[in-house]
Amino acid sequence: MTLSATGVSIRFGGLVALNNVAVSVSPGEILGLVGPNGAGKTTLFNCLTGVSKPQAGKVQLEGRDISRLSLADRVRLGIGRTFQTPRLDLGSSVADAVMLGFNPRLRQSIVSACLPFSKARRTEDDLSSRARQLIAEFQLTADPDSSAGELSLGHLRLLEVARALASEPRYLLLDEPAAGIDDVDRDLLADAIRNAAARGLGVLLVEHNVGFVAELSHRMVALVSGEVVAEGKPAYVVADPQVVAAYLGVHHVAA
Amino acid sequence: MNIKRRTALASVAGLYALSAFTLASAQSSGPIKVGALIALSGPAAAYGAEERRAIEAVFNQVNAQGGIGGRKIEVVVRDTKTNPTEAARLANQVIADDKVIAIIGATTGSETLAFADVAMRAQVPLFPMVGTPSVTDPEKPYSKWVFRMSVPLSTDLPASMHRMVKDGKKRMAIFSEEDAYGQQGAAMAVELAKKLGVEVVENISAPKTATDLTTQATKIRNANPDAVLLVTASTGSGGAFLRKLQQVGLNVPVYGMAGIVQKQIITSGGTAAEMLIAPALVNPDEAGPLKELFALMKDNGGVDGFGAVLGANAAAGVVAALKSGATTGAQVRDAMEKIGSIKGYAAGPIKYSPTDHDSWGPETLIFVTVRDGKFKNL
Amino acid sequence: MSNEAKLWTAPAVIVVGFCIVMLLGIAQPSLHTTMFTIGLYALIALPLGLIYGQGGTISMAQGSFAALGAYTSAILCTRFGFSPTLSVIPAVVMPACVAFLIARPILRLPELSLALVTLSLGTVVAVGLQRGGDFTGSFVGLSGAPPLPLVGNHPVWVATTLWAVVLIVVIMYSHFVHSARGRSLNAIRVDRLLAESMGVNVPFDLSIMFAIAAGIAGLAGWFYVHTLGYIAPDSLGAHTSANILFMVVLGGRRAVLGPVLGATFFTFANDFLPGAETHGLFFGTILVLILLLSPDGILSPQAMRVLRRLFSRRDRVSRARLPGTAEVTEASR
Repeated sequence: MTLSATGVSIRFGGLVALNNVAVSVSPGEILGLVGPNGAGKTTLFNCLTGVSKPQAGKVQLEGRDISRLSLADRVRLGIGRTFQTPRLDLGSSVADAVMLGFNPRLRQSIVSACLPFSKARRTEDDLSSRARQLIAEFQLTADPDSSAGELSLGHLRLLEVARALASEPRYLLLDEPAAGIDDVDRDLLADAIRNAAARGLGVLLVEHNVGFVAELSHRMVALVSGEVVAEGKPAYVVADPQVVAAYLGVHHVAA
Repeated sequence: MNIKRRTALASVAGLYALSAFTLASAQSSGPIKVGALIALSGPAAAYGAEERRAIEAVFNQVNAQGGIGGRKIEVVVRDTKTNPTEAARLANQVIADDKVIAIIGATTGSETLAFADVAMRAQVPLFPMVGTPSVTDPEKPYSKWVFRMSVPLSTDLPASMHRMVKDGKKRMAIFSEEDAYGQQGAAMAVELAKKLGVEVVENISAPKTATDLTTQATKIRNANPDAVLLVTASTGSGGAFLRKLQQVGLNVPVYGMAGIVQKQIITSGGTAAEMLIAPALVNPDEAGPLKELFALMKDNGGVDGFGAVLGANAAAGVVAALKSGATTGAQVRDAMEKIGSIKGYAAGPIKYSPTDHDSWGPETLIFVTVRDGKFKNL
Repeated sequence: MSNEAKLWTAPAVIVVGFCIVMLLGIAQPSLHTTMFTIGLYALIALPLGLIYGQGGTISMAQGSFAALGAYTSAILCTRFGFSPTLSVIPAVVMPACVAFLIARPILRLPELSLALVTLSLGTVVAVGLQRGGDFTGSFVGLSGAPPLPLVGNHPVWVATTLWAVVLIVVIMYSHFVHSARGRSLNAIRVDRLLAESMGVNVPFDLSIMFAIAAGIAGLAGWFYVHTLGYIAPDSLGAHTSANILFMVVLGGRRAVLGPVLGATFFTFANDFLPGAETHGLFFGTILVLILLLSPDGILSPQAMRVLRRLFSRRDRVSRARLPGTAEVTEASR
């Protein structure tokens, strides 16, 4: 009952980005994936979400091989994600941006979407109020109809978490959510992640910032040069000599 | 609130229904309005401008002499922009708003066809200044309302080819433009060549927008013809084609259509224009039998080519019908079929009948060529 | 602004605008046929607003799809004795199918290439129609298409029917943008990766939208040919496609009513401009000016927000609570 990658290898030309990597996240668990720049964190993240396909090994969701499924298919199966750089229509309202998150769970026909008094209309009111609840819960803004472009980077990251949660995922994959945001937003974010795990979601947290992850994770995996060098309790991984060396730059890691 | 809204709705609906049933009322006083839908811009603008001058000259002359039974003729000129959709919209406009009783135009065949049905339903006769055969196709109901005011392709093309045979030519190459006129003309020429015993050694066409005709000219030269038939009404591409023939070194007579006898062909063709032999409605450099036209246009910008002939005759046709007592579109239509020869501005008589809405026969044509930058009668 | 107001503002504007112009038509009857022209352009432009403004997918083939619909119907009616009531179905389905088939390979292209590819698609259609011999009527085109069913040729009823269809399209468009499907399409414009991560099957959704846009253009073509009774290769085509894109961009590609406003402006401007030669100059200048001032056209989201703020009651109340602004408002009156 996990989301797992086993024996995953990816190379870009001559560069080995991932070499026989195995990670797995269980429901209710917060797994921190750390590593210096160029360690292969993002490549592994892309592999799990479906942006890129592994050249060897497989990605499994609760026993089912999903290596060949598209990003869209995986979202529908319950793998929610956020982006390193928030991706959303900055011109739309905060409410609309969050409401987009309900889409993977909806099967709406175009005809229904176009017609007045249709099922889509009733759904719309329901979605709107659920989005407003999420906005309140995450303290995104006082006015859900205001433009998303007015939010700070930290709030945009929170918005992405809220949007991902709207799709009712079983696994939540976060790509460097804490980079470049202030302490207040970081605490809000940490609460949101803990709450999600408490509700039974498996959370994969990809971070460059070891401190934030160590504080939050139940378990950590450290990647260096495309290989897993340490895995286990945060305290243990943080103290691992290879991890320390990689972060301190004793090993020169190609970007 | 609700009642107020209902009253408002009802009154809007009432007014709206009223607008639907407003009928065009026939006018009995004030000026007689005639529409002129002419291409004053776009590809056919070269003809349109001259057509307009001639039409206005004729009506001004009639008005100066007191009009028709005391009523002046007012011409409503609209620019169709050489675009069928625009032409149809403008036709609706002059029929509905200006209540014209006849429309002179359009300048091109597809523009005319775009409003032929509209005009027929409104009982407004049309006087298109086009050679395109289908505007008077007797199988189409609208043809009853259409009186061609130009020489049809079925007159000038055979005239040109007969001349070719008379000049002893046996091997003909055809160059046409890729439009309705060019394609119908090329097909007609191939048919006629069989009957006349002329061999078609090359039959080639170019898009209207083609900027380089080297390929076409070279192919024609390589086919080694002793005459070329030029099926286009466009002086721009006609001139460019003549220049190309000269460039690739082919020096045989080029037989053209009436539409090409315009002063622009001499400008655009240069010395290559001297290869041209064409049946013409008018020689812009020699009045010949068209003294009245030259007199009419003397103070109205002069005669540049056949646009003046078409415009002047179309206007003269409308005037003749009005003078016979017609006051509505339907009466103008009926008069056109009955009044016999129209005293117009062409080399030969123009006379319509219930079975002939083309009229313009070979006697309206004079053969010309180019010498020293001027048209010369043959 | 309440949800209901969001959904029904645009249709209400259409109904009111239409009634006003048609009433003015009592004094000037040609307004009725002018309304037909505007409605025709609006019907071709609206779905382009949808796929371009919402979906970020440009198309320079709308005019050609309209021509395809017009020709399909004209050929069926004049050669095979169909009635226009029946031929409306193939007139819509035919361009939609063509669009759907070609959509998948071309819709991946970046905007500029897509514009060029769809433009050359128009050329292919035009050449096909010109070379179709007697079947398509070649360069001369086809005449003799029967008038519209029920309403016949009366300009008022023809315009009313056409605008009823425009109204239906506007209603559906308004509802669509405020639906999950609409947000999916919007996500595709913003970022395809975002759309995919929201479970959107991007190639399929875009193809469907492209096909729907072509189908509606085909319907406009059907109106065209059965109103004028004539269609030629140069009636609707590449120049129409370019004008339609102009209307969408000028009127506001993001707003539901943008294309309708663009069509209205374009048609009326035509009457006040001297010749076709100056059109390019005039429309080009207007376009550059508008896009410099407001990159999303006249009815841009920014402009709409300003309007909404001006008219929103809640905003007025909150302004009144701020003493400073209240004074300014009082003083300015």
